[in-house]
Amino acid sequence: MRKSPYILSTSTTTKIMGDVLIALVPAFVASVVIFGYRSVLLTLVCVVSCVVSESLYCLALRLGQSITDLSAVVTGVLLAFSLPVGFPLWMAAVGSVFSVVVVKMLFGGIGENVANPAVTGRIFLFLSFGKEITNWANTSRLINSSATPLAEGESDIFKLLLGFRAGCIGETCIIAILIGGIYLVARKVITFTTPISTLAGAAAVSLICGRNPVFDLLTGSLMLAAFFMVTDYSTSPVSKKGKVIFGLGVGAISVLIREFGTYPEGVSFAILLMNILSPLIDKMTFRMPFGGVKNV
Amino acid sequence: MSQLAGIHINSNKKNTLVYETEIEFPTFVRIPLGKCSPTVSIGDKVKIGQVIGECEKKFTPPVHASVSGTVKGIDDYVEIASDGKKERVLTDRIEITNRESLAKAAYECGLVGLGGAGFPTHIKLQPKATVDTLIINGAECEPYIISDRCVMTQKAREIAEGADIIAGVLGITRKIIGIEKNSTVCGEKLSQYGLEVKILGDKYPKGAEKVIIYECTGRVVEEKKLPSDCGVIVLNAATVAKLAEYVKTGIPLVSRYVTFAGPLISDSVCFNLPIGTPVSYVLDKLKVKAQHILDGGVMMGKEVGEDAVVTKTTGAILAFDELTYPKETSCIRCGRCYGVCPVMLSPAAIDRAYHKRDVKLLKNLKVNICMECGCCEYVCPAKRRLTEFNRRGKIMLKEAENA
Repeated sequence: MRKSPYILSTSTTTKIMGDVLIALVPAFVASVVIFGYRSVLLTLVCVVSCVVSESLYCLALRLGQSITDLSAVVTGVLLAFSLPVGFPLWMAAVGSVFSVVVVKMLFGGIGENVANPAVTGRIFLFLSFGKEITNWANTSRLINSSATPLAEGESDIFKLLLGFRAGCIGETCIIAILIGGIYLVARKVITFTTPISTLAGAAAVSLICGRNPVFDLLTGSLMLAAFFMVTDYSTSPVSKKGKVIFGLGVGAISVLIREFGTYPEGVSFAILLMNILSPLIDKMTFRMPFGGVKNV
Repeated sequence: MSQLAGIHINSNKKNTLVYETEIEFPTFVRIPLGKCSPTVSIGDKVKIGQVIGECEKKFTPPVHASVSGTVKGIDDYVEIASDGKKERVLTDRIEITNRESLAKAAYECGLVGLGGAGFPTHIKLQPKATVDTLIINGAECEPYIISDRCVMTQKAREIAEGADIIAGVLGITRKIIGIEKNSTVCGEKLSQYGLEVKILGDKYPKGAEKVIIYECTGRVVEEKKLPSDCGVIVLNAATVAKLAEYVKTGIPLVSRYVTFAGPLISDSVCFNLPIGTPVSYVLDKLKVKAQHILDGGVMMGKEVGEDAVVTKTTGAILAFDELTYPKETSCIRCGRCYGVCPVMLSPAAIDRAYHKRDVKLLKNLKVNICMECGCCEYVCPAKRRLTEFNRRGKIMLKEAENA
C-alpha cells in the first residue's frame, strides 16, 4: 500500500509552465503591435519546432512523452522573443531544435539541463548566423531607426518603456514584461529575489563604469531575462542566498560585456556563464538542516 | 526567533470545543500485543485493566484487557469476547513520591505516547539529563483529527494535574502547553489550571517534537540527541491526562479518544473506544463504507485493511472513497520542497542522492533529520514521492553505517 502523505497539493509542472506562458502574453501582444504579424510567425515556428523535436526525441528514445509539461512551448516562445523580427524562419527552426535536443534533452530533459535552453539556443544562432541575428531592419513603420538603442545610445525613457525601439521582438516593451513578471510573483511561480538581484547587479556595475543605469536596465534583453530566464528553475540555484548571488552575477556580467566586450549586448553570455556556476553556488550556499551538526 | 517553515493546509476543523460522542461497547476486541508476549490463555476470564501481555525487556509497557469477558483467541493479538459487564480489576492506591514511583506508575499504566509515535512514557520520564521544562503537545496539526482537542475540552484539569505530578518529581519549573491557532478555544481553561498556553502558528506541522520545542522555548534539539539533552520533555496532552487519571482511579490505558472523519464522514466525531475495538464495528455504526481506511492523519498516518483495530496510538480513523494520485514526473528543481521543509532539508537533492545510491551525499544532506512530515511531497508539482525517498534514504544510510 502507498505510504503517507495521502493528500497532495494541486500544483503541477504543467500549471507552472502554463502560468509562465500566460505571463508572456503581454510581451507577445506588444511584439505584434510593435513589429507586426511576423512576430506571430516567428514565435509559432519556434514553438512548433521545439515541441515537435522534443516529441520526436522521446519517440526515438522510447521515453515517455514529456511535451504535455509545456516546457518546450516556453522554450520556443523565449527563443523567438530573443530574435529580431526579420530573422529567417528556417534558422529559427534550427535554433529551436538545438535548444531542445542538444541543450535540454541530451542532458536528461527538464530539470537536468545545465544551461538555459532558450538562452543557449540564441547563443548558438548568434555564433552561427551573426549577420541575420543583428539585422534590425524591421517590418514596422512605428520605428524609424534600424539600430538598437544600445548601439546607438538613444535614451528616450518613454519610448523605451513602451518598447518602440529596434531589438528582439519580446524584449523591447518593458511595461509588458513587468506586467508578466508581477503575474508570476503573484502566482508564486517566482519571487522578486532573482529579478531584483539581477537588475541591482546591472545597475551597480553601470554606475561604477560611469554609464547610465536607467538606460542599461531598460535596453537590450536585460528585463526579459531578469524575469523569465534568470528565474529558470533548472539552471539557477535553489536557495534565496544562491538566487541573490546568481542574479547579481548575471546583471553585473551583462553590463561588463556591454562596456568592455566587442558585442553591444551580453545578457545571454552572462546567463550561460552563471548557469555553469549555478551548481557551485548551490554547494556554497548549502544550508545546514535544523539541528544538524557538521560531519567530522 | 523565526518560525520554522511548513505548509498551509485545509485543516477541516473549526475553533470549537469537542465532546465525545456516546457509542456502545463492541461485542469483542482484538488487542494488539506488539512486542509483548501473552500472559493469558484461551478460555481465561479477564477483567478490565488486567494485564494480558508483557514484555520481558520492560522497555515496552504491558498491555491490559480493555473489556471484561473471555479470551477467545491469541496470536500477535489477544481477542476477548465481551460479557458486557464492564467489571474491572481493583488496584492499590498509587502514590508517586520520586522518579522510581513515577516511572513505575507510567509503566504499569501501559502508557505510551498517545500522539501517534507511541514511545514508552516511562522511558521518557527517566531522563539522563536535567530537565527544566515540560512541553505538553496539544498541537494536533494534521487535518481532520480532533482527539487531543476532545481531551483538552473534557480533561483540562487532568492535564494540569498530570503536569504537576511530573513537574514535581522531576523538578521542572516551566509547564507549557502548545496549541494551534484553530484550537485557542481550549486555551482559557488550560491557563486557568496554571499552564502556560503557547499559541503556535497555523502552519503544518507544529506538533512535531523538534518543531514544538523550538517554537515554545527557542531550543534546538541536535541530531542524534534527545529533547532531554536540551532540558525538555515533550508529552502529548492525552498522555499527561491519562497519567493523572491512572493515579486517581487506577484504571490503566484501556481506552482512548479516536476521531472518525474524512470525506465520507460529514461531521468529524470523537469516540472513547476500548483498545482493540474493530474499526469496521464503528464504521458500520456510522453507516460508512470506505474503500480506503487511514489510521492517523492524511500527512503521516498509514493505510490499514478492513480488519484494523484501534491501537494505543490510533488518534484517528479516516475514511476515503478513493485515493488516486497523478503520475510522477521529472523534478524541475523549482525549490518548493526546499522552501517548506520545517527542518530545512533539501528533499530534491536527497531524491537525486537516493536514486544514485550515494550514501555519502545522503549523510551530508542529513537525511537522518527527516521526520517524514510529508510537506515536501505535498507541495511537489512533479508529484515525486519525496517523503518516501527520504524514508528509504534514511534506511539506506543506516544500513551503510551499520555495515
